[in-house]
Amino acid sequence: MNRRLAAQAELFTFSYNGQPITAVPGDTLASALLANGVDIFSRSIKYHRPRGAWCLAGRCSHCLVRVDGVPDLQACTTPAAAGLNVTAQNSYPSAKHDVLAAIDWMFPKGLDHHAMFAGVPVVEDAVAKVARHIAGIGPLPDAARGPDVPVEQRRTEFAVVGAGPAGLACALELAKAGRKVELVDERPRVGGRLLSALDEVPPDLAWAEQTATEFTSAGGQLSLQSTVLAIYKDEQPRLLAIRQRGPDRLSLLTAQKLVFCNGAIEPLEPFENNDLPGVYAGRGLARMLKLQQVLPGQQAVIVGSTSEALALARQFAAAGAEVAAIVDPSGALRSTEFRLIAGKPSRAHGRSAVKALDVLAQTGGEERIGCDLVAVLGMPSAAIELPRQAGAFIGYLREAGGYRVEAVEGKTTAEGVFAAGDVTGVGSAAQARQQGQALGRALAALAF
Amino acid sequence: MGKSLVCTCEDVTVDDIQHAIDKGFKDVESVKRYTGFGTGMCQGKSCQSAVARLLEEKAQLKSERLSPFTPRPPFQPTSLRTYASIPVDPATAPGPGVPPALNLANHPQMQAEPVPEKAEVVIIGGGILGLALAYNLSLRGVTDVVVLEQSYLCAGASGRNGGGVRMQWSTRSNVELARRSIDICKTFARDLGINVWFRAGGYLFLAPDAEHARRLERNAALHNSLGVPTEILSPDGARGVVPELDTKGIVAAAFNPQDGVLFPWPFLWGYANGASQRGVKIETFTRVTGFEMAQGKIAAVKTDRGTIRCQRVVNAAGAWSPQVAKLAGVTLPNEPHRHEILVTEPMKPFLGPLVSVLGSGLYFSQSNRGEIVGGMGDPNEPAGLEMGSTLRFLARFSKAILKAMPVLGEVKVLRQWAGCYDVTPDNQPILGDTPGVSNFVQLNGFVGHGFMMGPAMGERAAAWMCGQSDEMFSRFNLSRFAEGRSEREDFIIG
Repeated sequence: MNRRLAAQAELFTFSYNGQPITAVPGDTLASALLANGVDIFSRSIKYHRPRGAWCLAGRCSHCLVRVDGVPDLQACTTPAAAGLNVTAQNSYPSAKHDVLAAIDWMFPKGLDHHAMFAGVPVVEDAVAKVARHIAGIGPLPDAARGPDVPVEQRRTEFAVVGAGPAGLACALELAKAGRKVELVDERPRVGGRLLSALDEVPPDLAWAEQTATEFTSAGGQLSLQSTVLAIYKDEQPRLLAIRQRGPDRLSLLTAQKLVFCNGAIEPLEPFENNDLPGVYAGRGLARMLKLQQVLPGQQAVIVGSTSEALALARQFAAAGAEVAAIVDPSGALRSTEFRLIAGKPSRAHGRSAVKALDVLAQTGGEERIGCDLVAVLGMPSAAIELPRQAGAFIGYLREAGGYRVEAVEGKTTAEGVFAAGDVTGVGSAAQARQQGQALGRALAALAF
Repeated sequence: MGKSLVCTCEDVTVDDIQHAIDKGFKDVESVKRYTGFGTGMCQGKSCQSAVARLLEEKAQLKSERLSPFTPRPPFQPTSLRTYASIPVDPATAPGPGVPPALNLANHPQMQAEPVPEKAEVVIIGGGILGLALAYNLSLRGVTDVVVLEQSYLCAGASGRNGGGVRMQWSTRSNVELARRSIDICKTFARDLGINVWFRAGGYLFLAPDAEHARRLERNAALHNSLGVPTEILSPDGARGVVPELDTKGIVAAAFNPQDGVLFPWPFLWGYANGASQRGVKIETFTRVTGFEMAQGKIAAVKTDRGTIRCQRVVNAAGAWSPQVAKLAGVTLPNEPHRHEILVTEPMKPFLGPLVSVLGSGLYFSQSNRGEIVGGMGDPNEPAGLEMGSTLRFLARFSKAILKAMPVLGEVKVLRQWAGCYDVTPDNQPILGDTPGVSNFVQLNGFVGHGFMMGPAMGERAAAWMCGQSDEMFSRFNLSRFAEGRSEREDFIIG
């Protein structure tokens, strides 16, 4: 199975359940496993359903694996490295054939653990013992604690979280005005949503990289591979705890002003078997295609109602895959290139990986479309967690993807906390850049 | 098969959300607790908006009532080893926590219709004590009862504790209450139709010095005299119970295999449901704003949803009890103190008992879901109703737990939160009538162990309110502080 688009000269291997996996520099564990035809990584916590990658963004738990004796690492954000020992979790005897998947069949309608056998003598005790025995995902780590990680403490005037279109534009304006800015992003590269290259109009990834260069030239501090864990106020308000890779360390950054440009998260859209391996979040899939040159299927169905769906279809076609259909829940898309079905997905089929998707057409009929890849482009929803910790008010607006930070001209309800881009309600990349730039200019002009 | 998943971390389906709505859980926080959505490895990042959309459609919730559940640090699971690397200044006090609390006034979940105009008994506080009392009153035929809760059920300490239940106390009354509570745990599902998953894995106390070892021995003698099989163990003996322990610096241990852990939330729902079915009214998202006093009595309770005329009022508001009492002109000596706690990723079962290291306040256990649940008090914690989380706690806790169990170094923290202990000067509760306000009953001051005493206290308080005499309600009366008599409980952990 060749799912890697271009041949690579530099290869290395790691092991997955004892089987050698060929990887290339820049691979994550997930991209390498998928490129090698491994679709099921582990089993799910309760029903032992097969799980592989889904969001490809470090936001869900589908792809958890054990790596060198450490449980529950996300395959999609863990860099592949030569000699790693990767194993499946929560599966007996293997991720592909798991006897405990019987639980999924025994409880087709789900199980309410609160009411299950409640008060039934003897049975309830037996169930409690079994439940404890099969709980959890992975066993304890193999080894005792390693050494302390280095902890760095520093201060900045502005911390900008997220180096997508909004964050880059905002941070550049601040840096150009001579402000002390640290721009933090968890990925190894800048760009955020631009890494998926699904926007029809600029900015694009080249703009992001150019802007990042200008930003650092203007004196800005760019911290990549840096995950903001929380916004504390232990001694000072706006204390960011940041976990950094390469080398591993923890930074405690105190910021006078905090700007959230941390974008949105792709949500799981409900339909039957929406968790089946082979069903992916569309933006994540596009990003993997761009960064790791991996496309884990040959016959794709795309679910989406925006121009992003058409852009993704073109990417798949350019990569040599067949686009069987674009399923459009809104019914508003128009295309002469691809087959469009106005309708919504109702059920994915396949035992261990997707083989077909049932679509309920708006006209009433149901159609089964053969495929080995389903890319779902749902409306992303704002990453509200960190802004809420910093005190920003979170509102709900269905049309903007659900929860979002409420901001007026970039000002949130919390003192010293600002936001721009998709985190304030999902729009286009161009809107995000424009909001970030306007906010950056406004903040740069303020005397604090 | 054929499941439509909403939260894939915990395998929660669209049907599960509908089932929770059908059971009456209609705010995001409660649906989260009932179904478990958002409590797994991703902490709700990939599912919360999808659940909100379902609630909007299926429960016809208006958008302003869909406020998200409180997002807890950390944003991504992070190893205890990472946090243990952070330096801690032992001289400073913990600062304010995050996220900041939402304002409960005009809460979006507040019902528009007014509260009942009158009731025989008004119980203030929908935690374990208030609900256990309401249920037990209803069993005795007292059903004209209204329970007032300022937030959702489980929002206070009853929903924030670690779920430990132990008989290992230093005073007879606490040993006996806890033993009765454990008996209730065992029959709870039978009586109230909901599992609390009580697991008798025991409590293992570790003494770091001779003085704490003597306390363990003194307690064990008391326990044995009351029929509780607490055993004193050597450090090797402690490792026999928990092989992963590093007992360097430990001189002795005490183990009672009958202690255990459970899930706190179903206890509240079970009592609330049992009481409601018998006619008790449980009013959530309803704040007490004052009292109407007449002739040294409370004539009515004023709330932000109207006034309830009543014959008797019970103050079961936990850490909020002093505030409530003050509205009636009563000064309680209780003080709220934040205690922080965390939960890790779920692992396969390996840890039987709850382990507590005396002196440090460290305690941790493994829940039935496989997570390590643990906390540690901070001696520098100032009094106050602060329930946010700090980085300092993560650093202190991680250092302490890795000293006790180094193999947890790469285990990742999923979520941290905090609750308030309701601390009294002698670590004993405040029970019974209030001097000067004759129909005002105190049922508070449980110093972090109200959850485990609640089931037993609920029975005793109901019996006492129905006229049975019970010496506890005079022994632990508020008057003891003025009269200078007290019996100190010195075995508080956390």
